[in-house]
Amino acid sequence: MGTLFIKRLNSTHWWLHILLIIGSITTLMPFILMLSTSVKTPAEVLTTTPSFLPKLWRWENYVDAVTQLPFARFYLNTVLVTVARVIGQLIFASMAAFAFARLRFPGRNILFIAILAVMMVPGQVTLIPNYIILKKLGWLNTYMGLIIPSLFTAFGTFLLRQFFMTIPNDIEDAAVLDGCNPFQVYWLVALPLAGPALGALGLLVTLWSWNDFLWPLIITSSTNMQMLSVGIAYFQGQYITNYTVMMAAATIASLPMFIIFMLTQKYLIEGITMSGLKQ
Amino acid sequence: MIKKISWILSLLICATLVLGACTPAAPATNAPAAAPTTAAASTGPVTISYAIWDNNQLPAHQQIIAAFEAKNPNIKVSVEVVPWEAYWNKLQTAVAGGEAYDTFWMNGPNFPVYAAKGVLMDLQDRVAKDNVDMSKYTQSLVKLYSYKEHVYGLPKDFDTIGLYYNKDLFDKAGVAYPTADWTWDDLAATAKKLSDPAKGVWGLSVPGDQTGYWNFVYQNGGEILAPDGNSVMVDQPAACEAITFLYNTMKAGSMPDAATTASMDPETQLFPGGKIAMITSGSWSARTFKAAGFKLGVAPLPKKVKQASIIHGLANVVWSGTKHPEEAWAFVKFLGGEEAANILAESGTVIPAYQGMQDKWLKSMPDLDLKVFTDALAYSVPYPNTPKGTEWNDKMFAAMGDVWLGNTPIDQGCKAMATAANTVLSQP
Amino acid sequence: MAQKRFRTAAAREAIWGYVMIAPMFLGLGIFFYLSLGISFFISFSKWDVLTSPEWVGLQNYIYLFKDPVFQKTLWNTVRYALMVVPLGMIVSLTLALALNTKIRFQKIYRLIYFLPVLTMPVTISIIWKWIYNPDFGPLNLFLHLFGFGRLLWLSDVNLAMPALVLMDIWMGSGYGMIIYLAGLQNIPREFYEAAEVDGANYWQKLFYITLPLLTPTLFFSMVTSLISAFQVFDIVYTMTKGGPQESTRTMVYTIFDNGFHFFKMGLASAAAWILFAIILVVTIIQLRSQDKWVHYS
Repeated sequence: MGTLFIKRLNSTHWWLHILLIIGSITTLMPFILMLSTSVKTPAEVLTTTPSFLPKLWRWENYVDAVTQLPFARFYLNTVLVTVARVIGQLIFASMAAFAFARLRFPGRNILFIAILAVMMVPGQVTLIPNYIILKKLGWLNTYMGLIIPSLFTAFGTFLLRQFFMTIPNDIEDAAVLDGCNPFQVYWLVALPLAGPALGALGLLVTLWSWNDFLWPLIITSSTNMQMLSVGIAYFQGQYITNYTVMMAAATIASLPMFIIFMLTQKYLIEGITMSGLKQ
Repeated sequence: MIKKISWILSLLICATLVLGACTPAAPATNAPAAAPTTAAASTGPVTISYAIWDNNQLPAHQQIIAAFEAKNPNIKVSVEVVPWEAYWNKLQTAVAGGEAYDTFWMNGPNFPVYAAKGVLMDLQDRVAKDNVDMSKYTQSLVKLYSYKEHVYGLPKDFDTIGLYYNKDLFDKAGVAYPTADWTWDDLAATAKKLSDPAKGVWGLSVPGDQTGYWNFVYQNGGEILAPDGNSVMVDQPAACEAITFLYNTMKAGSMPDAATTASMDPETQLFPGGKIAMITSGSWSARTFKAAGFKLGVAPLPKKVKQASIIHGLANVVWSGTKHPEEAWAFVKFLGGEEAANILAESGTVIPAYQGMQDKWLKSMPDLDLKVFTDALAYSVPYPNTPKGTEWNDKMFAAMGDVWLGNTPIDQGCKAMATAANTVLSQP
Repeated sequence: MAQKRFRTAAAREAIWGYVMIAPMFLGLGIFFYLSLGISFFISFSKWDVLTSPEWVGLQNYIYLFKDPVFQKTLWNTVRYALMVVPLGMIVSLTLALALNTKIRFQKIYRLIYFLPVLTMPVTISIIWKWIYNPDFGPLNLFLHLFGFGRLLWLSDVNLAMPALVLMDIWMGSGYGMIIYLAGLQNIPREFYEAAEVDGANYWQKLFYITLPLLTPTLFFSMVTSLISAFQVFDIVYTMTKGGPQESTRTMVYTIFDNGFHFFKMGLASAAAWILFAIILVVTIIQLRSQDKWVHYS
């Protein structure tokens, strides 16, 4: 094990590092611009070439961001809605994905295509009908309206279906022989094996939900129901955008994503194997 | 593993319970106009909703609402700021769903569409009955918000276009500042003197339509839209001359070309960055340009046949489907009154449309000659609009972009612009 | 006797299947299929959103098929998808492979390449507009060293779309990386160990183990990338607004324009259904091809 490690270090692909570093620079630029703008003075924002290092540092932008908007409330809403969405999506999508992957039933292929069809329609044309449906349900401006419609995902179902299809048949057969019904196979066997996929899906859903803008805006009408993404948009006016405070707000808003990314790294690290499963 | 999952499940159940408990509270206190009211028995206070898109003006409006509620204890106003980029989306969705705001902001380009389609309440009779003095507002604004001779909105604020200039760049080149009797020739000549394309500095920029070429068309005696609103007149000699003048100025190197302005916005990057000496822009830009750091000056737009400056402003309107027409009208009437205009003026955010309230805005930036913008009222031209919406203008502006890029030769440019717009306008 | 048991077992399995997909379909039924059906009817109407819809039959569809700008829009969208999907997949895959090996700073690199996903879109568009700036942009400055002239990029009819493709790939590489990383974790260690015993080098392991076992994820990525490439919108809206000369006008941009700017929701819905039909056909073709190249256990 030790020699393996050293062997890896020696053949450290230095050319790989060079390429990765070049890529990193372009990738970092917008992010650094966001950070540096968040501590600039307004005068420095309006330049022809983006300046990555402010001449005058203005940390008060962060104070402004937090005082000009009810940040705590926005955070609460976003966290609440996102957590509910992630849990809901993971549960419903994994159940359906397992069924599509491992169970046989008439019409399975057609139904699967029907699921995929959900991703094929641009949101602009279903926006108004969905709004009307929500209004009829009385869910406008409520947490129910923000959460329930978003619990159902074709993307997640598809992703998990691919993973469930790679489970070796013998593992499943062993469970069935032990007397498990399909739900138990799903719950006790398939789910634990799908760690990386669930982690990836959870991360992607969190990201999507954190930045979800148009739908929450359309169905909420009071400030104390708003999410962070909408709050940040408040700084963008018709003619004038308060870039400095907006970037400060955006930085504060994106902090949890870092933490979540680091947490899900656990699931995305080499080492989780299939044969290591205890029966 | 099971323990972990049970833990997650119980969390989900708890969350659902908490949300279920929270949910009833939210609509009761915050839903706009959801309370069923009977016309006769006015038991509790009536809540009406009000939508705006500028977060900067929220404090002023909250003050106005407080003043209004004090005088009208039976009416409560719930104001909502909808970010500009999604305002019209949301408004349209709400109208389609039958849940539009009782009162809201309206702007020039959108007004004719909403009025023509019956979304706005006709205020003419109420204006007459309550003796609202319409002469207190600039007449071009009243006209802007009238449809078929009836008033549908009470003007709230206004903005006009002026010529901002960078005094530092002028001083460095030893060139005289723009004056109030400048003509197009003065503009072109001075712009040439201040341009150095090799260094990436230009003398002039005339961006956009409302802030740009429209003004020049009117200054030459031309028009954008025909009086009946069914065709454009940019291919008429007067208008076409103006467009050609601007094109030639760009070609002469005095203005940045289209490729440059596509990747760097003149108003938010080039001018504040000190790369442009003179720029035409609205009164709203004064504050931002001032913050850019150089010595700023402002002058009236130059004249050709006459002086002209596009005037635009917002109005407060009432939804035709509101369940509380009297209360909504009372609020809009208050918004259009002197007390509200005073509060707005104090905030220094916009120029109120109410006569006599402009002083406070003028004094908000003493070393800048803001009077240029209020003087422009005398020769202002209302924002051209039509009940057919804004598609004609989008297509026309795109056609102009092609001329600027050189994809269409200038001698066919005006015709191309007119064709692009008229194709849209001629559709039923 | 055995036959009866078999039929019951299959029936039981089928019932479980329906039960497990039921919540998903119930939810989608209310919050998607219903709206989809409504939009289908609207596509046969003239609707300005502010007043009631008016039935016009096939008028919208006929208008679109005859409109040269729409034809160009369709072609632009297809062109865009054909460029962005293969290139995007290659970039994301390479990134994931590179960041799956135990190189130093692995975690830091992963975080860095994930950052575009976290950055405000407005900052991203400012940076890329600067990159593509004909006079000061780093791209042209760099290409100048190789003798290139003043390329107009976003203002050039031929270069605007490739410019957007490049930017889109850059923005999406973080998402792709995450999905491929998850897929790579799913490949059992034993295969690699067995190959190493046989003396396989990196490239052999890549082509005979990694890629074949990654095909389920590759398939997923291909299908979903294609579906979202056909619906490209935000990047067109912020960078070029469909220009110059409609060279970057895409289907969803047209749908948004018509539906929310020009009060032509009927036309927008018709365009959306045309797009839907195209994507559906393309996806079904891909699903059919699964057996030929995708290796499930």
